[in-house]
Amino acid sequence: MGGGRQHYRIIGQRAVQIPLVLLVVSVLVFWLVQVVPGDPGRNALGPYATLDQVQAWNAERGLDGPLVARYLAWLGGFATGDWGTSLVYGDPVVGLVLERLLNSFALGLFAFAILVPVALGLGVLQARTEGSRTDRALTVLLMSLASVPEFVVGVVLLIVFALLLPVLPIQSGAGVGEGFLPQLRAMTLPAITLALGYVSVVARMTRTGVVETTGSQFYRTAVVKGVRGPALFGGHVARNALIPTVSLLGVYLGALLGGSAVVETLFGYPGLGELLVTATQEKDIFVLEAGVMITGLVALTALLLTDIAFTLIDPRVRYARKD
Amino acid sequence: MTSTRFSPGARAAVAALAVGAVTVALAGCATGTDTTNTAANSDADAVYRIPITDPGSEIDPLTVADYNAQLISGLVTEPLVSLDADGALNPRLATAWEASEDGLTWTVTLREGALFNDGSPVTSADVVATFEAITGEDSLSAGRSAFEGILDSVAADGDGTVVFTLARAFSDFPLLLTGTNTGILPADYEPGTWLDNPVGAGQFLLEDYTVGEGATYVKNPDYWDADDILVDGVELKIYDDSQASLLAFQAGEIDRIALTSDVAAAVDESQYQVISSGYNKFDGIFLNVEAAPFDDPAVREALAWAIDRQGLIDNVYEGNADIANDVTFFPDYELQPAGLEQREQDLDKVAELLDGRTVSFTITTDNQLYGEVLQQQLNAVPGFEVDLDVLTGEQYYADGDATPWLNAPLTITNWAKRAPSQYISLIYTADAAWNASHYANPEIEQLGQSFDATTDEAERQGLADDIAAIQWSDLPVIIPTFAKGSVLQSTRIEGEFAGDLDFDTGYSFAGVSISE
Repeated sequence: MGGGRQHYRIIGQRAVQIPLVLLVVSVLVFWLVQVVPGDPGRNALGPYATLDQVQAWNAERGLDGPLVARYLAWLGGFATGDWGTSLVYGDPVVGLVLERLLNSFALGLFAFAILVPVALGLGVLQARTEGSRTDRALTVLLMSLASVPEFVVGVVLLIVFALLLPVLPIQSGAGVGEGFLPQLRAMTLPAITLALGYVSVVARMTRTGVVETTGSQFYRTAVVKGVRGPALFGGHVARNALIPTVSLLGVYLGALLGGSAVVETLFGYPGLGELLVTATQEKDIFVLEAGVMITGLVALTALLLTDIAFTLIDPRVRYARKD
Repeated sequence: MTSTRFSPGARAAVAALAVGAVTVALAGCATGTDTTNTAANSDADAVYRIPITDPGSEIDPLTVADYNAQLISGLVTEPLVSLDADGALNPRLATAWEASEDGLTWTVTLREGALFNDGSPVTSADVVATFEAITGEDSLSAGRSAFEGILDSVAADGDGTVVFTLARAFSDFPLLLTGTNTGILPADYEPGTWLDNPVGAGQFLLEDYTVGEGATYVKNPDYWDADDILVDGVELKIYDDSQASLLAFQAGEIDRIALTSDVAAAVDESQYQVISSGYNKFDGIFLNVEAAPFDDPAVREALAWAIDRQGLIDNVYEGNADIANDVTFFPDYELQPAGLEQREQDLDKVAELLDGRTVSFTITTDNQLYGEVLQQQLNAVPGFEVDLDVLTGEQYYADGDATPWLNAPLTITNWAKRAPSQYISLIYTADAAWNASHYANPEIEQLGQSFDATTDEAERQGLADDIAAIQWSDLPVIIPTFAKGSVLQSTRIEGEFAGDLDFDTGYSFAGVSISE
């Protein structure tokens, strides 16, 4: 089977799988929001509102019918582009979620742009200096970094770059919509925080891949044949060593683009993750459903693109078919 | 053989640049939910900057219940009356208020020349429409409960006078005009449209509100007291993480922060101004008098004498509270009950009242710190075995007949500051919706109505003494402390706020300025 047909086959499979996965997730989210304590009307109107007022508020927003009927009504609307109105903000959900998604995309890509060169560079450096003090020091550093939560990394960066120096703002949302440079400046700390969360694993995987490849028979053959420099690394090492790394980066790209609740909340960045935190706290079911659907779609699409990229990088890869 | 392909390093660099370029493009497109489509305030140095958290609710002055949402709209709207830190009434859109002899009618005179920010005058028709919207049958206002059973109707008497007719005499009626959702709106205001047209007669004009980020305001040049508004504007910045807001305060990005235990531990208070505003709430210990062990008055009294009230102030409120004596008269209320012994921890009295018994019960609350401190205090007293059940706010205040905050044997619930007699109708009356103690005493209900009905000072003092004596001796609710709000403020701020920034004080900025 040719590479093109292979891609079509993957896309065809995922075209069936992705909607099914999203459907299951949407049912789970809808059900979970109902069973956890709390009431959207009570959240909106406060503790001094009477029960009658709370019930009237819920009825006005269609939150008082049977669960299945409400789910089906939501699903029908979502499928036809009517994502409902936010129970918290009173704005149409579609605009709210897509706007935040765009913000999360920007932050995620910025973080990815930091992650890729830094992680690959460190991994290759470790492989080239395998067993040396540099390799060991980087190993300790990266493992330490991997064990520190994003929240702590973010706070430390804030203290250093926003409080002590101070060269960057604390609230990242301040730069959104105010032009490229202010926005890039405001996004720098959350992007670094996000990227650092993944650097360790990517660098370790890169190191392992390069070390294994440079110890292989075909590498030694290439060296004996006189291949040197960039041709050796690009043509023989990178192409083989980075296959698992590319797969991993694809998964991470999906995670980065979907927004990070922790980082966006800490830095006050108006992304999808921050929106979903608020939606969860306030039981804003329509925003929560739409946000989860979009986040899931982004992650699953990233996985699909990764699979396709995988087959492009390594033609030996073929996905199993039962026939 | 010579490769013409790019090296992996070069390809990585190109990939990174490509991704960066896409980032740049998306970054340029990324926006917030700008609901007013105007430029942000650019003169940051003349602007007072306040941290808030995401309001988590729709912004409509008629229905906002969350503190942050109230602040967002409250800087633009103007109440009839507000309170200062000493509990005194300040005229705002109202310049005078007077009760009829029978106490059933209050006549409020409006300020001449006051304007909404669309240029139209504030008239009695607007006040009538606002209060009808708050108290109407289909109202979703959190303020409606304050007027239930008290306000019967409101009517205009010419353009400049409003007549409030009460269902029963209520001598503290002007205090109700300082409450939630009482900012005056135009008579033709359409509920739910405020962010599209942020109308009000208040100190500031809403320049920009962006969901998840904050709001900017500029001074309203047509405000009736514009000469006393000395700042150019206000900026509300949303921080959903307390650590981030603390760092922002330390970095000088915001001008104030609530003085919590975390903040007190992290900053040098001497570097800032400490503003202690007036009393804002009490945390009541509600005892279910229908169920064991608190159906025994001796156990209730023993509990009241067992509490180390100063310990609560030190460990729960960081010193921002004063000792209370189990009565609902805040220290800044004009009348103070006399003749009651101030309760303090007295273990001999506890032993005498318990008479060798050991009493076991569970504290149920959503206030973890308060619950833990109280549990530790009581378990250190012979005769008490106390467990603690800390719930989330949603679990604690869950709707339904079995809601914990109205049914558990001992609950700790905070109540915002109100007129003393209001608490009688809300929590001491047999059929009151929020009577968590399940307490019934017709005498205190009668005394409360008599207190509300008279304006005679001597008579009111006598009634206050009688009400307090019942509260003190029956003890359905133990009120160990009255809490005060405290904030740290940047030293660049000059002048004093009339009170803390909340709806009671009308968010007044009069007299506050920012140094160069």
